[in-house]
Amino acid sequence: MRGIRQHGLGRSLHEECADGVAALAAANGAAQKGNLLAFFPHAARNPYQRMLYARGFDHGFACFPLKAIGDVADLPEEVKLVLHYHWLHKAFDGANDARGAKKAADHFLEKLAQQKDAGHKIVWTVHNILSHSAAFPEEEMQLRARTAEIADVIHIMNPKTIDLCREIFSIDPAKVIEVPHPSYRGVYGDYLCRSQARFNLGLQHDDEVFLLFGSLGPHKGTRQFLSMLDSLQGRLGGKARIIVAGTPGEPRFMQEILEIVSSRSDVQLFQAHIDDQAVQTFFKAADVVVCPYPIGLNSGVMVTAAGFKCPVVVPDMMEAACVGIEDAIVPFKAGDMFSCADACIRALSMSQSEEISAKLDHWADAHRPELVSARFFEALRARL
Amino acid sequence: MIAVTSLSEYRPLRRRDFALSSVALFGLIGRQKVALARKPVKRIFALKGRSARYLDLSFLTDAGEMARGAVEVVIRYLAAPGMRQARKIVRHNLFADPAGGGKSQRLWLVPPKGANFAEVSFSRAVRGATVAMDARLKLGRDAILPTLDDFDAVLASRDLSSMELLLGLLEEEGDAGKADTLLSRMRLLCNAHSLVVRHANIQDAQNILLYGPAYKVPGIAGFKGNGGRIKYCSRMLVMDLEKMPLSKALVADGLRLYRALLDARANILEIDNDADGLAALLVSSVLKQGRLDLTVRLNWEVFGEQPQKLGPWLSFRNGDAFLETQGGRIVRSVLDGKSA
Repeated sequence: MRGIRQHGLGRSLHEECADGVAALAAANGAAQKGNLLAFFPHAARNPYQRMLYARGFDHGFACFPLKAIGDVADLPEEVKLVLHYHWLHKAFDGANDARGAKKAADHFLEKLAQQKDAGHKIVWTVHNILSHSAAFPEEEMQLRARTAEIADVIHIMNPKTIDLCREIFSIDPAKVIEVPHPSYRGVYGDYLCRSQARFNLGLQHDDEVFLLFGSLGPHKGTRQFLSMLDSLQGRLGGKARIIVAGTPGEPRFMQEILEIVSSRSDVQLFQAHIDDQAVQTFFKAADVVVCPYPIGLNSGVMVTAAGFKCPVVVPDMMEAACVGIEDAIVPFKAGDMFSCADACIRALSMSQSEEISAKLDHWADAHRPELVSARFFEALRARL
Repeated sequence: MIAVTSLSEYRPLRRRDFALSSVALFGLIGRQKVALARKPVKRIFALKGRSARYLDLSFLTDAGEMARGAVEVVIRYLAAPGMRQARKIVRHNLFADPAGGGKSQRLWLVPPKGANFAEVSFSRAVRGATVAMDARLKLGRDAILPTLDDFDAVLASRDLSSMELLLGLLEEEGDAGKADTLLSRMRLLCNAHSLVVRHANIQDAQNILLYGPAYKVPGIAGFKGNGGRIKYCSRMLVMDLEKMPLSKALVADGLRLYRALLDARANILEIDNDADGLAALLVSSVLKQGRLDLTVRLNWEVFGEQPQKLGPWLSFRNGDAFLETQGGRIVRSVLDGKSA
């Protein structure tokens, strides 16, 4: 989607809406009244939105990214949108301090309220309890609480979302639709064999490989995990190999990571965006995928691991996020890296289990993007 | 002061530069402020005597942060200009500072015996960023090479060339602790593969001393010999610890040994107590722990009396000193057919 828009096929919101109406009529017949769904923010490199909206047209939804939330006010009166909000921290872009963040949040909420008053429907997907990289936690908590109040429909993926978020904000169960995170089956390349993947990364067949995958930042627990590595190595006779792969974060944090990685010969760092065909190399080579996050609710990395039939270590609040594969998800006490090391050892013991592998495979198949997308639109349509 | 954020004052290399480079005379006159290309530019220096010389160089990039390994410098020590066969080739991957913040890096030239000239080439080793050189290509001399007494100062510096010299000294001394610290710093400045390998060798040696060589040779299940035997000696070992880490070298030699056993239809291995006794012992141990039907014979008394060495970090006054370590005990019990 991003590529197309970068190459000069971008449209005004008005034109996009008109195209959407025409495309819906072409797909489902002009007699059918469809919905225009504009989502914000657009995470171009993350396939999640493409996956979630994959079957929109089958269910009468034309989905497209919203460049700026202010654009909605310029639409003609008769055009009504379903406005689907995702990661709210985007509202704080440009804020340098708490005061600026408060102002930005107020501005964002004001727009949301105006959109609702104008007859647009507001949908919010709760991806996290708080953003991984929450720079203004107080302001973000308030933003989340108010968004939950304004939203007409709240989409959750982790069945425990309402309980887990309760300390920070309330979610009205009457507004909720529960549709799980899709698997990445058919999204990421999946044709390499384990031997090829390990060979590509210079790993030996008997290395115990732990993968930390995803964009690198101070909020992901990477430093804390690496700092307990000697303890893990002691328990594995020095056989652990750690792969850290993902888009680099801010320079100061990356300098810290580089200092740690440079001092160890058992850690490999791949600091780059990993393209969709290269993802398989890392997951196929891994015995265990580790999400050492201090806080979490859902995780694309966890779901990706499931798709590659790999057990995954997650903070305890995420253990129920994927119904049906709880056996392959090994929780640790969030923030406690020794508990994380224990979880790594437990996960390693199940990495060769055919039963676990079959269960993960079945789950990934049953959660293919097209199936989850259909479930999402069926649930959403029932609430609009 | 406002920092310079672009490299506009650095000129690109021209055809004339490459023409001079083709006869190794790039940068003969004046200060060079040029944007480097992927194609190297070369300069030859005459070396009188074997004393160390140096070049003070500064590299800059328009990237926002320091670029690791941005410049490849290759030093070819020659007996005479134009000779194809170099006495020695030394490669450095030097970093580049962000524009406006360049600091000088000292590049040491330590000629080996018989080298009368050094041909030094410079090229950009990264894509996507401009890398410029700011230097007067004139050899400095009368400087004293760093020694181990300068360890702290060199560690605090970003002088990879001095670090390389100290690392050589630490390898000779067998000081794994300081070498580990120094290599961590060097890898932070330049994550060259050769440094990664040297660093891994320290960790592998420590792991062997703690856990024995706990590596598995792949694909060797179901081996059955028929009573034949082979003698395992230095010439059968191929390991090169400059090219790959010890852990991988042991597995690679283990596979080679396995194929030799297959070819000879042998399941008795006699380890020769020659110069590479320790290496042969470890390879045999790696192979044997794959539950092979393999009998290993070794004169433990002779092994225990002789000095034993494998790479810079497994060095023992005699074999008994190795066998007294935890890893050594594991190796012995594996080879004796007992559980570790």
